[in-house]
Amino acid sequence: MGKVVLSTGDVDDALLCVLEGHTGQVWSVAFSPSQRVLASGANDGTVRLWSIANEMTSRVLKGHTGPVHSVAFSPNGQILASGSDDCTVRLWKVEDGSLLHTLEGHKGSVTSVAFSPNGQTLASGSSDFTVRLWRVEDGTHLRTLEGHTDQVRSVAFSPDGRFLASGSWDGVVRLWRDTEVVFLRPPKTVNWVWSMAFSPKEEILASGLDDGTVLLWQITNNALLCTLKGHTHLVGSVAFSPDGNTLASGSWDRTVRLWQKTGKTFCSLCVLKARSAVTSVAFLHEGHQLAAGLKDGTVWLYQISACTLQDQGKGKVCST
Amino acid sequence: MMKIVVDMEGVGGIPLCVPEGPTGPVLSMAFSPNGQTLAATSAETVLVWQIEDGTILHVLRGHKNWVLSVAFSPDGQTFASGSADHTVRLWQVADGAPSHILEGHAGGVYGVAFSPNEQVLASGSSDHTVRLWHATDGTPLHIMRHRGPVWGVAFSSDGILASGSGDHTVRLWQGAYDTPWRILRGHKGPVNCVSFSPDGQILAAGLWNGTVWLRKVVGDPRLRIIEGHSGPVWGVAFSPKGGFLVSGAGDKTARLWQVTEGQFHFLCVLEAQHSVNSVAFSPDGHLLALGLNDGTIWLYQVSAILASLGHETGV
Repeated sequence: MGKVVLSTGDVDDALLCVLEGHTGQVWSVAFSPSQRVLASGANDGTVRLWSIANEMTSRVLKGHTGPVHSVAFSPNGQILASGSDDCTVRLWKVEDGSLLHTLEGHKGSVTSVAFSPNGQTLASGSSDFTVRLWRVEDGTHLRTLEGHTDQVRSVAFSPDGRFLASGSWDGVVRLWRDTEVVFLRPPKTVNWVWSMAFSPKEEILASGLDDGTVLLWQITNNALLCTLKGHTHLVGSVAFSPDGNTLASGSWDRTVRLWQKTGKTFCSLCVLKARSAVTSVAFLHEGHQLAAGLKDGTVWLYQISACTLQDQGKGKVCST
Repeated sequence: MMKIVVDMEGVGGIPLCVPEGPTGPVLSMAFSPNGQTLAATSAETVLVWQIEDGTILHVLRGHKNWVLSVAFSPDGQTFASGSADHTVRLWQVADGAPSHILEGHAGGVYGVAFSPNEQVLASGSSDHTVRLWHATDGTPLHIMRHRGPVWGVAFSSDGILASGSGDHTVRLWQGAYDTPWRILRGHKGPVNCVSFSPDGQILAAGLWNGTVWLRKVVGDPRLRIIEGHSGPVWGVAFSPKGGFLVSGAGDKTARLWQVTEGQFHFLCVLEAQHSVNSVAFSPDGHLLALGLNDGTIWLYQVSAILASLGHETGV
């Protein structure tokens, strides 16, 4: 059973509550709108499913034999995928927490998992430098995408399902159309890519790098739209709100930054403070709330509307 | 060159009704040879629209993953669909009933085309191959190879087959098909789509880098490279009499060109709300259809576009 600690207002006014239960660093959080469930994967080898509508109680999914690096819900919310240091991906039935399939094949940690928008395909990125595609229905391995020259840290499908992006410590984002690849790479520097997210509305990809910057790409013409600066440590996670107008970036500098779409670029909206390094972020409830997974094993929930009113204009940075 | 931009409603563009239920990008479209229906991909299905009143005549169900490509046979009796489930399916146009499942590809089927004599169906796949099938019973006939995924195939009126690939080439095939008759190289990037002019003399290839390459099928292939799109070109089509060329792209526009004796004159940009994934002219040349990434199809009267340009340019 997870423990809920309500905010006392001393850390940040936007903080709603702290979810306690994991006994190791939280690596990943994901929210299912249809099931109103928040999932978190952690170094303790477990996945926790937090019932958001129901007093924040949590269920524990056990099975992985190593830290859980990534969790993702299928589009209909019925299946949860988890990727682990034990080199497997596991598919769980959200309803009763039963294990559906164990996907074996990666020769290194599974750092990231993502469902295709039609729910038929799962992509997994690994420290073995590859991306694997799996059929969700029966767990069959479909294809291995090779080419990265370092750990793959992030995978994401475009909302229309036509492209898969993979981000790696080799500094490159590969955009896959089936087996074909196009590269997205900053012109001068090579920085480890830690995280990626597609805008749900436009063909824009955000990538979080180890130098603390977030890059926004127009994927159809490989154009770098803008560089978001502010974080002082690596950006382990990025997420778009469901309407595509807000971008959240979680950093090991112990903050979450929110960026608001302003014309064709994004401007700094506010900074949410946390107690330790932020490894993961996810929007909840149509984007009104945000969950952040922390290195100290807790998951923090923030009320974004409060933050917006309070901190708007603070440290405003627009960059193109 | 004067850039003329027209919005969709401004030139008589009308959206076909948006289908209910789950839908996907309109990745491929085809007018029936009699011009009465338009077939378009919608996720795992193909919707066959009656153009006159915008109703759905048939929903072709059976593919287990997204449909990527569609084509009518020249006699209008048979319909082919290629899918991300690696199969090609043949359907009877009259009642929308499935007739054959063509298996063999090891990747998504991104292009299908019937030969002008209706005997052969060609399919291009991300498995780097082009396959030829007997168009009526689906018997496999031949396998040809590229060095990258094949994104588009087209037959010319003379029976020459073109395949455009991620290996940056367009290969032209005829006769025994064992080796390419010609390999058109030099493209600066993956080739997404190919289309022949109605007389079979010119090949248009749309590229990932936003250019459209016009090549002569016979002799020195160099003709012209059209620039203007700022996103991948997903579809190119000549009008049935060869007077117009349209290209649709990921930059949310289509570009229309007038073709006169091998010369291409830019006419206008058609602005859309989403990526233009597929383009098609009706067999009589009166209608232009754009298939968008949000699942909608826009139909234009070509004459309305021309009239609006005449008005604006004073021609």
